[in-house]
Amino acid sequence: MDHLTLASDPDEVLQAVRPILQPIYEALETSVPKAAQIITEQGWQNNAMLFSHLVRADVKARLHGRKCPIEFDDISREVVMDSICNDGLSTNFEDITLKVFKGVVLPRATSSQRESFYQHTLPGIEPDMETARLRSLVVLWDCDVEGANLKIFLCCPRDKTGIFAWREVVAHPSAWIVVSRTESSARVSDDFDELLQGTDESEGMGE
Amino acid sequence: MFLGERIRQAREIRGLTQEELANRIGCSQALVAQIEAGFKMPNNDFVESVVDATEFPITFLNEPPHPEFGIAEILLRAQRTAKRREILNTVRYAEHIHAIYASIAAKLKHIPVRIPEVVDSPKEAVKQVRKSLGLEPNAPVADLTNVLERAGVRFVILPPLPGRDAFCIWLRADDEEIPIVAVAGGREDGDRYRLSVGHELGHLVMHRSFLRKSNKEVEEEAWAFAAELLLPEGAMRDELIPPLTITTLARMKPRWGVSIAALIRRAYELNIVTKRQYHYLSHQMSALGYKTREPKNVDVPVEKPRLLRKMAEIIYGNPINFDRFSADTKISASELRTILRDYQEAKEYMPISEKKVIRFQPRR
Repeated sequence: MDHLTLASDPDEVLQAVRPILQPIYEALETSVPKAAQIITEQGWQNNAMLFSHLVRADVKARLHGRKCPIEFDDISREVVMDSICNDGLSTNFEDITLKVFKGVVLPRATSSQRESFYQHTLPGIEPDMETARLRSLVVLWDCDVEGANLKIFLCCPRDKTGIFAWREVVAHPSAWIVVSRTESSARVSDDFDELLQGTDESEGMGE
Repeated sequence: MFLGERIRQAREIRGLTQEELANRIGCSQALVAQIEAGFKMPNNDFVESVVDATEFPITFLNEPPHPEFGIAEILLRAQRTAKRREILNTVRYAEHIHAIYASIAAKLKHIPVRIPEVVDSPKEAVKQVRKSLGLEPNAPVADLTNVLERAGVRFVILPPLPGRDAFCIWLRADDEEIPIVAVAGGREDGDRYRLSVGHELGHLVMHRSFLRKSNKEVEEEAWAFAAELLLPEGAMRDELIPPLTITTLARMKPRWGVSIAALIRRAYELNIVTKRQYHYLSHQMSALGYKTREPKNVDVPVEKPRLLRKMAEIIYGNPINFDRFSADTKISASELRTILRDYQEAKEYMPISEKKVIRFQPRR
């Protein structure tokens, strides 16, 4: 991941962090409807804070200790969720810190930790986009009140005001699956021979 | 003696009405009707005009008529939106292809039919069919077309026209009955193709004899059969473990050869997911645009039948000697070439045992 900077192509970054993005996406895909269902079943009044808290708690439980897929880069990894109050979702992938926030835009930094996370470089220093190493990424998720229309974005923060260098929609993991079929070599005969052969006219004449 | 009837068959295979044929050859519709009914003998000019209009060689018109399928039960099960004439054209085309099968099959060993008749629930019917076909009770059916061809089913690929999906029939020929499945060609939806074939197999197995059941009941039974055949309950209870997501279902799709939507539906039918979860997953499918088009990377390849081409290869060599094939079948070589494009060549042939491997896209 050393080669990734703030100026890196977002698509390149998306590809690089797929081993962690996939479990995050799948955890959200599972936890979002579950949270909506719990609220309905319990008869609780739905509000954004409660909903998002339930999602965070479930996602955290699902992700911690989960194996990342090795199909992308053949490296075996395990998701380790950081201990953050209020079930905040934060993890590290290689030397990049990823946080998961609800919403479609980056929230403004209201704490020094958040400022430092957004900053990539030392506080107060404007990062040089070409050379500043990518250290922080945000996964933004959003859905409607019933947990439907889940959308997930990967966002590269730029500074503490919540301005981002870029924000990209994360494609659904089902679109990343590749099916390999074993290629069979050309065959002159196949398994119908035994069923059909054995007649006087079985000697064919080529064109 | 047969000429009038054969002219009718040639006309119907090409999907022409008597009036359309009359317009093409410059005579009255009444004359065509009289000739087809055998009330008048056509002169040479008329026959030559029919040859031009239908693009069948004159030798085709001099042959005895080929056997025709019983259209009543096909009409009974046809989609309500399909027009009678469209269905008739489809059936006539299928008879034409089957006549080619029959012409070659007479020179080859007979493939014993292993499609049982089962008057029982779809689940029990599938159990017996799997046993008869030598399939494991809970394993995916990797190449359904190949399995059925080896069990004596003859596949007819229909031209890709709207309103045609599939139909099946037991054809009585001499002292045996041959199961025929006709499926629309020119398609890209391999999962839908398999479901249609599974549905038609359900009719062949469960509705061979006349049953006192409504059309709706019969159709529902055939769909239930297809679902149990392609997604057996035992296996689904082991594999569809909640919470289900579109991602987990997409991973299952290539191995089971059905759509993600069918897997969601099956999970709901088997009470593996609640109504609410079913609606949520369906909604997610819509939001992702998968109701219109499921992700291309997990597409199920369209199966192609092999038997007809294989039979021709045994008799006429590989590559096929189309001149000899044409002389025997009385169908032009170019038409035979076109027809055989829908049937697998040896080099495309993939044995059932070859497994599909699923992985995620590697980094670029």
